[in-house]
Amino acid sequence: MSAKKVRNIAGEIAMLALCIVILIPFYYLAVNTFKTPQEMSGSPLALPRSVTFENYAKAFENMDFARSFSNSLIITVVSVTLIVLFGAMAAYPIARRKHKMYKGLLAYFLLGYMVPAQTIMIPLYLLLQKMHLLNNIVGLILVYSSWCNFAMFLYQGFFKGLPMDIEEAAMIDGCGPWKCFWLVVFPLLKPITTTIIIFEVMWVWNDFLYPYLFLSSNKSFTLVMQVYKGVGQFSNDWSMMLSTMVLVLIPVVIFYLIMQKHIVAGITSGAVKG
Amino acid sequence: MKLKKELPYLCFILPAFLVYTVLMLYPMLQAVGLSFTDWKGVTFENLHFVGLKNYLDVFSDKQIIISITNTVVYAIAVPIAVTILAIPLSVALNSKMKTSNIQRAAFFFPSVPSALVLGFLWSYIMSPLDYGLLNRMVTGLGFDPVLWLADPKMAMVSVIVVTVWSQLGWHACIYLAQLQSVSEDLYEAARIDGANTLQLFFRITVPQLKPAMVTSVMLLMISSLKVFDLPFALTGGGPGYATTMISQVIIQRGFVDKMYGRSMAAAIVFFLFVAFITVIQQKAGAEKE
Amino acid sequence: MMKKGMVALLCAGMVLSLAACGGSGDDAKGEKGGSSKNTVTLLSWYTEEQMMPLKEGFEAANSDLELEVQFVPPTEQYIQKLTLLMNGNEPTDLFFMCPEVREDVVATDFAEDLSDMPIMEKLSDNAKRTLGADGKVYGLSMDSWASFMFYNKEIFEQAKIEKTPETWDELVEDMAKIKELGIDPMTAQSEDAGRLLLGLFASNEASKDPNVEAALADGSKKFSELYKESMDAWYEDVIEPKYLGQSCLSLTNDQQIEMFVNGQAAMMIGGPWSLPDFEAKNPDLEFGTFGIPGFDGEVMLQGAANVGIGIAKEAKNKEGAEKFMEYLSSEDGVQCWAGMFDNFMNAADAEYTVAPCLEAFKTDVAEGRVYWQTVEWPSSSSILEAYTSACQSVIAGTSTPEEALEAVDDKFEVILSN
Repeated sequence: MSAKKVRNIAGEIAMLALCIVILIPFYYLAVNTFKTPQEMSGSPLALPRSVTFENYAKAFENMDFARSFSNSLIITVVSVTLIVLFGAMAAYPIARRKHKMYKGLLAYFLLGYMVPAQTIMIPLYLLLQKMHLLNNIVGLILVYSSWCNFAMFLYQGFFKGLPMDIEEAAMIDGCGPWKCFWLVVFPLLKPITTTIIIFEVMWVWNDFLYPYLFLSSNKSFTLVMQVYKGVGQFSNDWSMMLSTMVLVLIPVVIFYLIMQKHIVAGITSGAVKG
Repeated sequence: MKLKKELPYLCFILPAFLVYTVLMLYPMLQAVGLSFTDWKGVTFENLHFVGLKNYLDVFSDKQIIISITNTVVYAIAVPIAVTILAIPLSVALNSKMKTSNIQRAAFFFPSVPSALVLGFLWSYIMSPLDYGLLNRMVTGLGFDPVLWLADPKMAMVSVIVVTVWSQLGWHACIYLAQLQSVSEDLYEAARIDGANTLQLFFRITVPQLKPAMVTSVMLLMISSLKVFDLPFALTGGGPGYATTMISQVIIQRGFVDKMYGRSMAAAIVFFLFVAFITVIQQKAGAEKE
Repeated sequence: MMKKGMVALLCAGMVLSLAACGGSGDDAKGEKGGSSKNTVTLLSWYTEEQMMPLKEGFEAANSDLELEVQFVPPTEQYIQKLTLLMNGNEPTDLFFMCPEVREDVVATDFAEDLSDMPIMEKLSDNAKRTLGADGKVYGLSMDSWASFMFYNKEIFEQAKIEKTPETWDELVEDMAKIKELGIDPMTAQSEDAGRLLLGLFASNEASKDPNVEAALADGSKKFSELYKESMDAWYEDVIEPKYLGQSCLSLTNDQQIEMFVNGQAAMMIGGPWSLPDFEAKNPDLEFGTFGIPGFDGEVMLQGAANVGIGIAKEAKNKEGAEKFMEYLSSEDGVQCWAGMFDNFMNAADAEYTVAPCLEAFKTDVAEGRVYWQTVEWPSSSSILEAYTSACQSVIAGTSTPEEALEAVDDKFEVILSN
């Protein structure tokens, strides 16, 4: 074997080893949910001596997994749909039209990106209260839909790299702006839409502050909130805590494995160059 | 006249404009308004206008100052650490290995779960008890156990380390995207001139990555300034106030101490700071292009 | 044509959302197939599992009512949630009240006054004032908790300690002996970094005058004045020699229990709630209890009347809530509660047993001879947060005891001037 080939194989092995190191914390988490306390203290990284699913059964029941999961799912799907639609629609004129006011609108929308959630937390709570949307999934979804400004920002960035020929051709053919957008432009946005969907799904799914503030009934809890509740509840029982965390991570892992090619490809294709 | 032509297009913006204005801008304005009052959170009846008092108090409030310092330190350290590590990593991930896709997926994964979950997970790994993985390794190598979360300075380091671990792969992919548009010819030409690998890296790769760097650093800096979930879950802001970030103090001053006026003032000061940084970065980024 | 499309889009979005929220919020009937039970909601300090016996007893006695338990973990999260409810318009019918929220309850006029309930005559004054203000009672405190030092009997034997310490100096000596064995004398979770000091102060000062901290509420006395002696002793005797080590600053409740039951630490402050945890983690552990002693051997137990249930004035189901309180204060309810928590009961004529290691404290607690700073301090959540952080800084070595006392003084000043 040539020296180069040896170096290449060594390099590949080194990278794979690094991958394993990076992922050890997740292995640690999963493997220890099957152990007894003594086992975990004795050998944190070893495989469990016997596999019991008792912890999982208890955690599953305690966190009302099915309901929390469906809550998270509904909230995420509807919110992200709105974010994508609103964001794409708003980006279209801002990116394509020449009027000066669109620059102002862009800056207007960007203002909110810099605002930390904590700043508007309390006024937002009062607002939802006035609108009678507290402890209501609709209220929470509307709040998430206001995150469309970041999606809009990404869309308008993408537009800059999109040649206008097809749109112009459609306009010449007599297509009005509405039709033009949905039939011609929006399909062209697919790469960035995929990226945006992936990021927004992750952000909304993982968000904990807003559900914590705006949802009070246990029945409307999201999955991530179960972790937060678990911290207080299982302050004396870390094995339940770890099992709860694993259960919360499973949907995320599945989503990731399915979408992983798109995620990396999406970013890699330069969709997020700003 | 010109405006009428834009009318159909403005309707495109309408839905986004509505939700954004009502649910983000309006509360923001209310926060600004409240920052000039002594609102105690119960009713709006005993509200008094106090001018700039809250803002002055912000700067004399020791915990707020500490938390601002902490947040700034964190927001500087994280982008630096991630950038230094992500660029070489992106080069490594760019090579045409058979397992490249798996590698990219593996490194990217830590940015996917909720920061809350990651924070709790690492609090077990860094625990001083026997199941604390890190100290097991450290003592196994013959060193003294480290107080990862109990020592004020180490606690901040730990928060930074966990953040870097989580964000590294994602940002390496941002650089990866940029790398793939770098022309091979540049490298060829340099190799012909006799440049070695290191020189190729520093003279060609790094400069070519500047646009990606601007994006990556901006994303990192802003998200670091806004951070809440991770330090909250990992250290709760402690020990003492060593890892308390501004976002946590805003909640503390508001909800727990009932000093909503001061809490809002701190939040506004903070927002102005973030805006300032963003503007500077945009300018710096624009120049470079 | 364009307008129609817009409208259609918006409608679709709304319909989707509304359909999605079909199972949200206040829908308790959904799962029971639409039965029309009347629901009484309770914001709960305890989990559904823990409240089950009470819920079952109540529902058995009132077949047309159902209790919905909304659990929020204590203490911080619970207080935050309750504060949100108090400032909003959608309270639960019933809620658990804790001393930390007294001022808010009064300020928002959130709760009904329960002082006319018959059971109130059987409660100690301490129990009534802990969850009340100005002569009114907002929460029915059924039991009281106390906390004390748990110690590992085996380690004490090993260190040749023959009896539990009766003065502070004896306690410190015992710690020294244990340290010589190479074992941590004491462990604590990071939240409890300053708890030992609170106990020392209670035994030193509150034992002589339970109202000693009243002067803090109007600013006539400073925190640093009252606490200086105890703080200096705590620092010199326990922190400097590292009998309570710095690693405690990263310990959670779970982890402090582990250290204690595994014999890595000889002592830990806990209460009746710790017993099931000890049992679960190490049933073979032999442990005992003693109250934290003051300089001259006086002991004032840390403790207070426990959280109790109150009725929200804006309750949607006031009738149901009142029925619940009736049941709770009945003999059945009291017995049920005693069985649920194994705490010290407040009702003077309640018959109950406690675990053997708690027997010694039974009379003191039942008669209200306990002391807990968050009951005595104004805006106690804020002060406690500042106090705990200050103690953590002392343990971490980033501030001196004087600076810590000053920090708490500053916090009092800010609170009182607000």
